Amino acid sequence: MLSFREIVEAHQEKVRNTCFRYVKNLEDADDLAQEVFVQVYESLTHFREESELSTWIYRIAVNKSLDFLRRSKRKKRFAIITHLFKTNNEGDEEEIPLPADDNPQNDLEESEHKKVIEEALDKLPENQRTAIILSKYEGFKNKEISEIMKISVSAVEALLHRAKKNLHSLLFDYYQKNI
Amino acid sequence: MNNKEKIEKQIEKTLEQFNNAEILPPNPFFYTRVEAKIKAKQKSSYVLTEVLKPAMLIVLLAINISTAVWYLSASEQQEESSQSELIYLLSSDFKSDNSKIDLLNIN
Repeated sequence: MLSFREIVEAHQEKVRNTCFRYVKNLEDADDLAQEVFVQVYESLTHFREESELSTWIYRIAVNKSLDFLRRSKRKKRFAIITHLFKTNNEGDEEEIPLPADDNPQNDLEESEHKKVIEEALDKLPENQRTAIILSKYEGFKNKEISEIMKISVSAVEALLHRAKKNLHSLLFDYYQKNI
Repeated sequence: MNNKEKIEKQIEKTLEQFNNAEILPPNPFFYTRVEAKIKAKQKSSYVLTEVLKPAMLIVLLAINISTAVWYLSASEQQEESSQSELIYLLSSDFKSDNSKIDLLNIN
């Protein structure tokens, strides 16, 4: 049986990156990943098999990230409401994103593509987004995804198929308007 | 290249970003922070289980005991008053009966 420290060291990279795919912010991703391992620590005695444990760790990471997004969506909605009733508009300027380090055409195009794919991913239903993040970004196999998401392998395949189809149509619509 | 082909090429390039995804740099303080969070949580749960729960229990016990004492003393008082009331009623009945007897005697 691995020690807690070994478990953290073995999984922290993937957990942090998985959280980051959802929240897109380093500090929030780190916070969420730490919470994941706190929960792991509290329930460590229930797990004997390493495979069962790792699947469970990524499931917690996905669930915590989705919860975080739901909470921030609620906060955003509340902020919109308070903004509507606010009369003073001081300090409301939108943040301008910083340019990339070196700024040749390729970098600009790449960062534009990244932004576009992230926006398209955000528009996918939660389960399709999770399937595609785990498969495409984190390189999990369909069987592993099925264990993390607690669904069958064929359901994962169907989700990935629909996710790709939806992404394609979202991107098609975007480029049709912007080319 | 027509418009549809251009779009398809852009889509292809965009989907390639899955392979060039940004990977977070390792955080050397990650484990230390996890440990700190666990300790903080244990401390707060210690306060809850070792201080707040016994305190709540004591408060509940005190409320229970004072309620019981109040109830018992109230029922004792009620018993006493009902006994004295009964004696008073009986004595007044007895007096009225005596006066009736006296009246009968006169006649």
